[in-house]
Amino acid sequence: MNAKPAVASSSPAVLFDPTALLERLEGDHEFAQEILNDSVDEILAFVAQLKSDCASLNAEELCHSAHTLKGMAANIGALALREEAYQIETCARAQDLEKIHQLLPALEDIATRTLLQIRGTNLCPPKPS
Amino acid sequence: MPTKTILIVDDEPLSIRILQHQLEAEYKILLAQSGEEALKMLSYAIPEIILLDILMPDMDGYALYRKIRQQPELGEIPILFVTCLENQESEAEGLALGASDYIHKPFQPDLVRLRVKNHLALHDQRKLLLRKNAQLEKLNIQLQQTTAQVKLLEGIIPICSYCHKIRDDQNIWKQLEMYICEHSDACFSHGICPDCLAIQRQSIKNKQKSKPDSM
Repeated sequence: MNAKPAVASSSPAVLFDPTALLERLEGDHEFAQEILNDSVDEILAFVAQLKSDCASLNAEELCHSAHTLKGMAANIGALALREEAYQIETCARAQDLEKIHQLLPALEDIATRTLLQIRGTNLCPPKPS
Repeated sequence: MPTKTILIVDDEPLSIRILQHQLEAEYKILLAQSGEEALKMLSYAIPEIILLDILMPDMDGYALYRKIRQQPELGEIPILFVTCLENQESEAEGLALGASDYIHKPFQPDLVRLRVKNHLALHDQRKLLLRKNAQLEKLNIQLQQTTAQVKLLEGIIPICSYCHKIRDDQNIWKQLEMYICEHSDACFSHGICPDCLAIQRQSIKNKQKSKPDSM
């Protein structure tokens, strides 16, 4: 059974909006699914990178990683993750590493929940038998 | 068949693939994931337009932009920076640097295509304008050279009804040929026309007849 896509909403609290991704890819379900599958590894890599940058107190790298995650999350429709990445990017620009330490667990939590939704999403309509 | 080429430079693979997906039906796409890779690509392929991410490791979009602009053969290519919607400060910086425009993440396919299409059309018109301007400048130089060679004879010229001398601006009566020589590039070679020849012959004969016999 295919998992149902989450309901689209303009609220930043929405974890994942597959309709936005499908619109961006102009209804190409297969390609959208391919992008989603690849986004899983990317999100995991970004979260690991952010933790590593934070541990090494590297504000510049933190800023870059958060910015790139923000853009990627926006493109796939992971709205809450985009919002969290934006918060971290803003703090990194301000060199506020303490705040980033506080924000990171929330980002990790949202990333985990977003990944759960993405993994449970099948955008490809079943092929007629 | 796509004829125009777009170079997309972005270190984030999913963004590149989404942009590529939105544009590949109409354009040939070249992809680079870093500034260095983009510069290498530009050494053998010249695209019609470049979409350039700003925040990249090692060489950011601004640094790459400057390097591209330093190369005369790439100097005129429109460059559109790619950024997230909320980065308005960086937009001002990019536009001040001379970027043509911005494309925002998340990418809206219609907007992306329209922006690319409009900037390509602008670039084509600019190239056409430059070509026409160069042609006009060349023609203008030719015209100036030709005008310099032409001396004008115009207006009312006072001429003596009997001797056909012409009165010049300094009130001096000049031989017709001298006046024309001074006011044009014409030259004269002297000869005698058949009518005048006949008159001259008759005149000589008359003179000889009127002379008393020397014998």
